[in-house]
Amino acid sequence: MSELIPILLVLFPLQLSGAASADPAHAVADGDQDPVVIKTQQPRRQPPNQRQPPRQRQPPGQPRSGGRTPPEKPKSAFLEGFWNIFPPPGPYTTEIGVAAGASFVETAFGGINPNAVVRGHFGLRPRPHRAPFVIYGAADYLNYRQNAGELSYVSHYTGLMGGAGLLGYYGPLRLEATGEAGALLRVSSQTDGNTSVRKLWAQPAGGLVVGGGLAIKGRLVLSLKSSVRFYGYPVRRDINVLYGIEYLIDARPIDYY
Amino acid sequence: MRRMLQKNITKLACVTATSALMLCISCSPGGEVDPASDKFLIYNLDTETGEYELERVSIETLRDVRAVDGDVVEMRGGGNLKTGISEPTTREEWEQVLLIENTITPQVEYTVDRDGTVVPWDFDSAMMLTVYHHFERAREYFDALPLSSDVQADLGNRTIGQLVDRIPCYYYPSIAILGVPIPVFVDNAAYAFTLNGFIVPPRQTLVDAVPIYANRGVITHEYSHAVFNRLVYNGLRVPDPIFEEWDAEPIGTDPFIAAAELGGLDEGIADIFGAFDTKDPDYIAASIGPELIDRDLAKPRYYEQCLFMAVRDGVYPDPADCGGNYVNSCEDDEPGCTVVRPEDPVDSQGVRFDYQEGGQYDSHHLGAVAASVIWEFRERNKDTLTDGELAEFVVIALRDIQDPSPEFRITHFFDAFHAALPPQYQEGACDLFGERLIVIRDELQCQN
Repeated sequence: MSELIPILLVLFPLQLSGAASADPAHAVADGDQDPVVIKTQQPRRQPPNQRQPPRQRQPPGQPRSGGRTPPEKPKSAFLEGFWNIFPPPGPYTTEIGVAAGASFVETAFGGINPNAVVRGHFGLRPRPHRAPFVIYGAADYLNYRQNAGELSYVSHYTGLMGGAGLLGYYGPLRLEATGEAGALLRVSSQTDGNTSVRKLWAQPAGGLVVGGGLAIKGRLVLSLKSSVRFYGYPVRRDINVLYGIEYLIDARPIDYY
Repeated sequence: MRRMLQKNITKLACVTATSALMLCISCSPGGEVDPASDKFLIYNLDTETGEYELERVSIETLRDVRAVDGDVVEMRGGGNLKTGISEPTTREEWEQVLLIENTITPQVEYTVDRDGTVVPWDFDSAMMLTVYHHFERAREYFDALPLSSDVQADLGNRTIGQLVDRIPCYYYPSIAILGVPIPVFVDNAAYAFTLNGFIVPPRQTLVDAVPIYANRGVITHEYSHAVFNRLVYNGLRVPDPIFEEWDAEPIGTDPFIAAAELGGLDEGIADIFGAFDTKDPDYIAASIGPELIDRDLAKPRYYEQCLFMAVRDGVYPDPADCGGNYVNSCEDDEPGCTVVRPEDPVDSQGVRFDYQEGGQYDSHHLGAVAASVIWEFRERNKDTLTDGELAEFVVIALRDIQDPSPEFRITHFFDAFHAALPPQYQEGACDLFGERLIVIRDELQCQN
């Protein structure tokens, strides 16, 4: 049941974030788990009217005084509401992932050619409740081979894509929809056993990805995504269905959600 | 430190982007193609060696390379092959019996090298260009036949290629049930009368040899069906044997036999032109091994009792009922007899045939016989008769049997072929026909 608490936090951030700060038990996981530690890679930005005043240099020779904090300025209700609705980008989590699945490459006659595809990515996500978006870079590979006796055609597709999009959380589930753009490097080789021809071709590519992840133990997330990619002229498509696993480098899923 | 890192990353990104851009520019897909001068890298037959190889060839009649559309063939991609009108009553309705729907205009991928070579990028792009090339070659073959002025006049002073005209070729249509493709029409090639179109179905199991549609002889064979349609049925998309359903008449009746023999002759003519064009009597073997289909025209084949019973009855008889046998068959009580009836039956002349008792008559069987007779005639006279001259005699004979009636017999064709020959070849032809066309020997005019 305690694992559901983060779910509720995701769903109702404004109400539960206050409850979490009021109850220190929320900062500690059940049982013998370690306290949750949120690592950040950059200082959390605060709303402009909540910035701390610059620390004043102490005169030399005086002992450092500790414990005294400057009095808080009254908060603007408008800005409070604004930043709650449009939270600023803040500390982000980083993740890497690998996935494999099926790819269906459109053929010259409009058919589809089924293949296997592998894909790796590196992603950045602002922490939940900060901003509902994700940015990532990804590389994928598939090949498309057809033989007829000694005649053989092989096309290698290597995609280098960058993407961004929206995401949302529902308990341990994460849903996202992103767009991506990049380059598709294609190496096409053909041979009849005697004559061989190889061509290299880079072309712009764009695509859409929808899917999501399911947090499992530790820092791992299982993902299922489908994507459609457009490339070349005239435009060709490939459709991919990818199952994968993601590793959250600087946060565990329980932190993440 | 961080700034340095950022600088390096920025530099790396710039180099990567520039390289990618240069790559796109230096090797851009597509490009202008001049079919009159450029060459296409396709899979072609080397008639010297009999081997298939990637070869730079001309394809001069393509108007749209990307769509594989030209004066000979309009390529159509994909689509669903389905039955249309189930009980047609008019010729127009018969044209709707077989349909191919939802095809698309293909989009082949290629680059044009600096020397003007068009290099297709993937298998299907290469195969569609290959198919187009082979059809163009088939048309060239027929257009180059040395037809006499009488024959040309009979054809309205149009070449055979002009008679056939531009035809759609359906590349990889599929048969689907509830949207799921069913591999019932694969590993084949076809010409459909009612569609007036060529069909290149997908490959399924024959993946270790020259694709059937990349086989020059096979494409000439299919093109020859269109030629047969123009010469014999005067281009009717629904000829009388189909419209009047001669094959639905009671077995053994004239129309029933006429339909079977016309079908056989159609296949035989296609076989012989395929062999003439490729100079190979067993051109199909590059795609289908003899263990599956034996259509070698150089083998002696006979229109004998077993085949005739299949033509007459529509099904193959037990070889024992027509003077045939099974290879290595033996009696149960013979010492060492382990296999009483192995797979391969032989006809009454001891020639293997690939059909089992009770199997439906296959017109390719009679076709192989008819073609092998003409091929044998060629072999016996190749020192004095060219393939072009022989082809002209075939064309004359086909024109002679145009608009066949329900009383048609294949002897009519051989009689016409015999009559078209110069006198010095007629006696030899008559002997050969009598030797090979055993069951219809007495019906041949030259034998009487």
